[in-house]
Amino acid sequence: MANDSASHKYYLYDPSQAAAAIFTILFLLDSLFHIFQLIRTRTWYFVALIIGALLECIGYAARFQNARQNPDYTLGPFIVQTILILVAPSLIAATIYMILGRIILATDGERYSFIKKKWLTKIFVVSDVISFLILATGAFAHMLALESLAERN
Amino acid sequence: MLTGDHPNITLGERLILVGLFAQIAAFGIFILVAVLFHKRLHSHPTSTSMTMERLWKKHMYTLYFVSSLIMIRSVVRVVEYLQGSGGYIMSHEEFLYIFDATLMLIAVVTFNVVHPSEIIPGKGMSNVEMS
Repeated sequence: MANDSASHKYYLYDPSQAAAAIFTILFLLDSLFHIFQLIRTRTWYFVALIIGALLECIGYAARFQNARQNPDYTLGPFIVQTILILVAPSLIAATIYMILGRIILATDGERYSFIKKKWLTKIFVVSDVISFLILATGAFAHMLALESLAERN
Repeated sequence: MLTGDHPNITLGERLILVGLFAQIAAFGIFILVAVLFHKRLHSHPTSTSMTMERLWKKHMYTLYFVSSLIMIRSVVRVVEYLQGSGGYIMSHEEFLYIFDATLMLIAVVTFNVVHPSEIIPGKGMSNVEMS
């Protein structure tokens, strides 16, 4: 069956429903808690991290959907879970870069940072966006390759 | 066993590796900038930093901790894609949940607990801790 060989390309094991469900819920709860903290404290630079946590949540939800389909996985959730779980940490990293900038300003210690605060955040956030885009493109290209490989078999 | 003529590594996977290496490099430089700043501020405190030494150090250590988690995660991902499809990591689901899901969850939860809203540029740091 063509479908059989296709689905075997996606997962090399039986993906766990329970694990995917648990992390979907945990990342959702954490995002909600972060949104609450953001609104309460007006720390807007947490938007990046929150989007990251939400991408993790959606990624594991898609993985849960795949796990339920075992063994007849569909491509859509597979692409979603692969790409989102891969790129989400870049968004968490973006918030980390902004936090250092704020510590430097708050301690009045800009002269001790060998990259000026103005540039610091920009340089790291831009490099972060670039690696994010490369990762997303790569993951997408990889999915296409897997799919055509599966179709050929 | 590395890339080379490994037939199982697609162009997409090579791009993913480039993206992961870029991320690891940026993180390495970031940690270097952070540690240097930390050391200099520690040995020559500013009048502002002296009033909140415990606080700024707490947030720096939090940054190191979370950065390490993302670093470990990215390194494991690099090894995963170097091994390619059918490699040990890709064929064992527990790696995803231990080195990605769990580490990233700890990363975001850490910022719930130690929330940087205490850091207020221009006003120093508030002493009000998030409850």
